[in-house]
Amino acid sequence: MKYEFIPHIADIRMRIEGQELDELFQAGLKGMTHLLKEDFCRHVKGMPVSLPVHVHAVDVTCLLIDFLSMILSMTYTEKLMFCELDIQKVTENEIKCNIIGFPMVSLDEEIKAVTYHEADVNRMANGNWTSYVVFDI
Amino acid sequence: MIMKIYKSHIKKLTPYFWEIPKEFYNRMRVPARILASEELLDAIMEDRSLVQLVNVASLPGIRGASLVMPDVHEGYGFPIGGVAATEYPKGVISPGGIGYDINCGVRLLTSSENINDIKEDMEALSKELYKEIPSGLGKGGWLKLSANQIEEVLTEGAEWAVRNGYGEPEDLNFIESLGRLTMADPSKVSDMAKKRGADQLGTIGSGNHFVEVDYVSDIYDATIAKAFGLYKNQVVVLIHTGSRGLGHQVATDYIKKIMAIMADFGIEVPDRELACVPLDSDVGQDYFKAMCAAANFAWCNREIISWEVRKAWEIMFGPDSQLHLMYDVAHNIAKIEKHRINDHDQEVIVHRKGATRAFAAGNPELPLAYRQVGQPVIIPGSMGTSSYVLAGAQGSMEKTFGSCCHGAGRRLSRTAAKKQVNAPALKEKLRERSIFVEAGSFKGLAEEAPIAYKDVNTVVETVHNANVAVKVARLKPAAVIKG
Repeated sequence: MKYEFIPHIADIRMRIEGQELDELFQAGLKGMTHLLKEDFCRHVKGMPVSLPVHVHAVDVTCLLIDFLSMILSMTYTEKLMFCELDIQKVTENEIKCNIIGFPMVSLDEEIKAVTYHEADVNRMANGNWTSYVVFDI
Repeated sequence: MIMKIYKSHIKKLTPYFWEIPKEFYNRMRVPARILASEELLDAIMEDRSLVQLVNVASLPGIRGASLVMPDVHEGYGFPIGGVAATEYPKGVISPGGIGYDINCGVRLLTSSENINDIKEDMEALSKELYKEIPSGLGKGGWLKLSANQIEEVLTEGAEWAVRNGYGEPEDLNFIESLGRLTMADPSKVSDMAKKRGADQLGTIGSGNHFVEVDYVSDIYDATIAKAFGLYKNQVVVLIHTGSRGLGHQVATDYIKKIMAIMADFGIEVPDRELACVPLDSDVGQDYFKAMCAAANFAWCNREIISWEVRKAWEIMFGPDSQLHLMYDVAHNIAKIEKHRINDHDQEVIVHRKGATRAFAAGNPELPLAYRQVGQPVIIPGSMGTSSYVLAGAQGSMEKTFGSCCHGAGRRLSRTAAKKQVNAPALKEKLRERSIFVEAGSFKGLAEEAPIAYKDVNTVVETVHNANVAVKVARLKPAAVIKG
């Protein structure tokens, strides 16, 4: 599982990779939280909070973007930063999980939205799943 | 799908207008036009802005031409700095053509202070402003709205701030659309969006948003400057922000909804961020009403930030030193407007994404005080360069659906800017030039460094020479507040 940031003229472009879909979604979550607050998940403080998330979508690319959008919205409304996923079910059209969050202190960067631009979840030659995710900053 | 556009594909119409003809790509319904000098065109061709412009020219119901301004840069789906007019009411509306930050915009407040009299106070003023204006990053602001209050804000816009003592009644005349879009319907805004916005009024956010104290360094048109209340060495304040998390959530919600149903209307798009539906469809109407509500939230936000600025101003300079609103203009919005296309007056849905409305003199939408000279167009530069005030001119009504550029336009990615800029050194360098910066983080400061932007002077010269908007005054920065 990995995430990396790649230059984009105005916004932030992230590439994520995972052996299986659950790892790909984990990578997306970790990368997004890192962007909001660098290394937040390495130094978490406070009691963890677990919240259920259930997302359906027409395809796996929409599922990834809608899932990250949902978590981004919950980050702002619940004032929590999410570091871990406890996945009960993930297919190409559905993810059901609990997300584990910790109290937000402050943010380095405010992400306006997770966009569908350039997103395309697909399998690489080595069998791993990958996609780009462009954040509107 | 178009991957690359070469200069040989582009026809020169005038020294400042270029065209990619409709015949270039079989999905284009109208030509694609670029407002730029040749030097700027070469810079624009370095990213994928023009591919995105061609994609916009393929949208159902698009009229005239798809357009980009000289500050254009690559966005997601639509380019930033783009204008697209679609047939009203059967043509499409696209949330991506407006952007996630609905009614991101800029306003300018004029003071009665002369820079030479308050030069020594600038550092203290920057700290006072930083204290009064929350960035809102993760913490929200001081104003927490109840469920009823948020409905009122979404309906009333800037009027809500004035009615509750956070603004001056005379401000309303100097806001685009009087700071309130009457088509707004709060019931079309999701609970999640309302929750995101509930504690964000009066906050600027991060990214390229700012509050900046400037002074008028040059006057180019004395008559128009007088009408706008501007004079040399006058201290003014620029405020740049939008609808915060509420608007971002409205866009997110409706892009998802629209993507799920656009195939029912036979619409296919090359980029999901171009998702669109006819305005007269149920979802099209719902989005338009929600967008109007989010636009009202943004106008209320900029009015309340003005109140915070006025509070800091009073602490620094006493109650007699007042700030007047010169103008407030949106640069991420869709409006239903009448324009002349192929010798016929037609109502169209004008999408402006990173483009400023720039109506020429005589337009009844303008405040009486400006009707003889044209609408103020406010073009912020970067924190170390100039900003400009222009006035909308006839060329904008004839060629750009009454629109102009909105800034300098980025030339470096955030990553590249961070690699090239030492933020503490930049802050010190600006301070040596008597520009005092207060920022939430050095990272944000580096990302927004002057080097990351195109030369605003070249961008402004282009719109001036094309008679889209005429130069009125140049502003130089003295204090910058960033989230």
